[in-house]
Amino acid sequence: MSAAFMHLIQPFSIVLMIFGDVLGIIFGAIPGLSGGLAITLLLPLTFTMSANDAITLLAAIYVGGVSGGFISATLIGIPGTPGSVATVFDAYPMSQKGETVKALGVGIIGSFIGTFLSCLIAMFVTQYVARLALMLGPWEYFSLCICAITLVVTLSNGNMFKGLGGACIGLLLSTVGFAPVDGANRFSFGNINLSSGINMVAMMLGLFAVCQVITNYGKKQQALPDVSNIKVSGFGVSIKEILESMKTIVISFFMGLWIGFLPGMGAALSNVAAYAQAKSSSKHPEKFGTGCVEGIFASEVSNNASIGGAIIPLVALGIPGDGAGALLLSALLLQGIESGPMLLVNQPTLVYVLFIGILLSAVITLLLQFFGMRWFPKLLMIPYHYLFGAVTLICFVGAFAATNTLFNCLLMVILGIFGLLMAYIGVPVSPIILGYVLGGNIETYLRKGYSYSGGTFVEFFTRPASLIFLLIAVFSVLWNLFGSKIKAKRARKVN
Amino acid sequence: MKKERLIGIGMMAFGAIMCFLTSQITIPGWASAGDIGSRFFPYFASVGLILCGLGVLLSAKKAAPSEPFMNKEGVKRIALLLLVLIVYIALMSVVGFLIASPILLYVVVTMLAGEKNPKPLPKIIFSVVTTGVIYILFVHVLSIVLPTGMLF
Repeated sequence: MSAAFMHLIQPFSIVLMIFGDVLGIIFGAIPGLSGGLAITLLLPLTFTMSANDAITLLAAIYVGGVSGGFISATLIGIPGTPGSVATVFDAYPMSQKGETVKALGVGIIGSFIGTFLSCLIAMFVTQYVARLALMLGPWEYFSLCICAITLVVTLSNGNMFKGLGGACIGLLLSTVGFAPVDGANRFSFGNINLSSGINMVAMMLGLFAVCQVITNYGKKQQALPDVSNIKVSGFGVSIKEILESMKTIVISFFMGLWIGFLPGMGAALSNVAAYAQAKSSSKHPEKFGTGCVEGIFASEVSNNASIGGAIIPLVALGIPGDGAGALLLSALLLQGIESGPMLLVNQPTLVYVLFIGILLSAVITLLLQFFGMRWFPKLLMIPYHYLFGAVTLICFVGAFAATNTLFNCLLMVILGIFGLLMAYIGVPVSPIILGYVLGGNIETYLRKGYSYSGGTFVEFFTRPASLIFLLIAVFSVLWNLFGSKIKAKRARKVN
Repeated sequence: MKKERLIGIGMMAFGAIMCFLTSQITIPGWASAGDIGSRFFPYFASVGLILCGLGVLLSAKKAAPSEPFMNKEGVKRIALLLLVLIVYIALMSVVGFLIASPILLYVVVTMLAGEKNPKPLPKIIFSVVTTGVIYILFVHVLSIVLPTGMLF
């Protein structure tokens, strides 16, 4: 732990963290961009860095990205990221009442509390989770991954079959190239560039960035609202108001932490859930939605608490809790580092660089946001066409830098078209990405489990933990299919 | 409803194609006995896809009429932008990054700006400066190679 701390207080690391935080905040604040996109764009940059530096930078972007979403939510009523949807409900009305600074102040403090405390908790809990994890074998991991992907699909809105289909597509995409164990060359159609699989950078850049640029262009969505007449000065929130909201803060915090911990769910769910809970348990629910401090706290504390929550399974099990976590995992893979429960044992310094990096980034974000408040409106005045023009170029540079081939740029564009097709038919992108990122591991666990058992699948069902995970997965699918009908039957019986 | 049914059928068809392609995978001679083989997992995913497609097909309900995803004009715009991007890749292989990129930026910025139609000079300055900044950042600071093309 001390080695990690020593690494992080070096000037270069501090510069990286400030740069990452600023970039993350900017990307998180501008609707249409996100912290995940920033991580994706900078992934190729991390090739030549050491693993510690790469993690420092990307973790800072992650923190900045989740925090930054509240800025545009407050100023223009559009959430910068899905994690700040509920923030709009109270931050925007408060801003419209003229209390912009207060709204921003609450958002900043709430974000800090969420990130800092959840990360502290993660630091202490992870080792126990990792120890538990070491008792698990490939059977349990296979079932856990299947369970995680299934939960992502069944707990989100939208057609479950399309979501699961997307996951299957992701799994198929992950099989391109050389297979684990026996090295069979799959689906590369003789193309040497595909023999090592579909490049992860091309996948991320194509499915997220390029797809977004193309879609926006096709739909003519470009204009960001006018923010030129918003003035920001001073601080705005009093200690008294913070103490009054303490109960909401604490409950929202633990909700965010738990939701972030569960695979498949993160800031996008926790902010809305915490807001709904705060509103329904409040003595003055009618104040919510008109610009009340508690509402903003509920949303921002929980979405940032999900960061710490998501880091636990990421480090202890190698299972990302959300898209940005998957990107952090990709960054580790690109550095040649194996994720999974042995990460804590093999690379303790790296793990603590991540934790302490997040803690320090939270502090830096707090300071940056308080002192930078008056520049926030300017962020949203950057003309769309310059911004996304630059983003497009950076995508190509990133794709080329990943494999030193122009083929990868072409692959990225093709995947962008693929993303467009998926959007058209209504298949969500998260399960595709999860299937793709986890597919290699899932297959390896499946094959290892099968061969360790001597050539049978029985143990996947006889080992208790594995069976439990599989049952949860099956149950969640069945509930999704029949749950509403069962609830309706019960309601009719009551009547 | 028809679109949903077609999507379901499409998913099943794609799954079936993947099944066929999976059967064509050549397994190396040193495959071991206690292993399920490299065809199992793609079969697993393909069959899953077929089942999901079936689910989409069977659960297709009459959806409320909503905005079409994209109109014909949008499709034309997208095709044009994609053409620009692909031409850029080809251009990079011939003249290299430093020449192709300012051209790309100028064209893309003009396309994205649409009716706003900014003046040429700011666009030229933006294109050249951005290319320069990125070039210096990636090539000199981070030592990452960028395409040099056939002319250089």
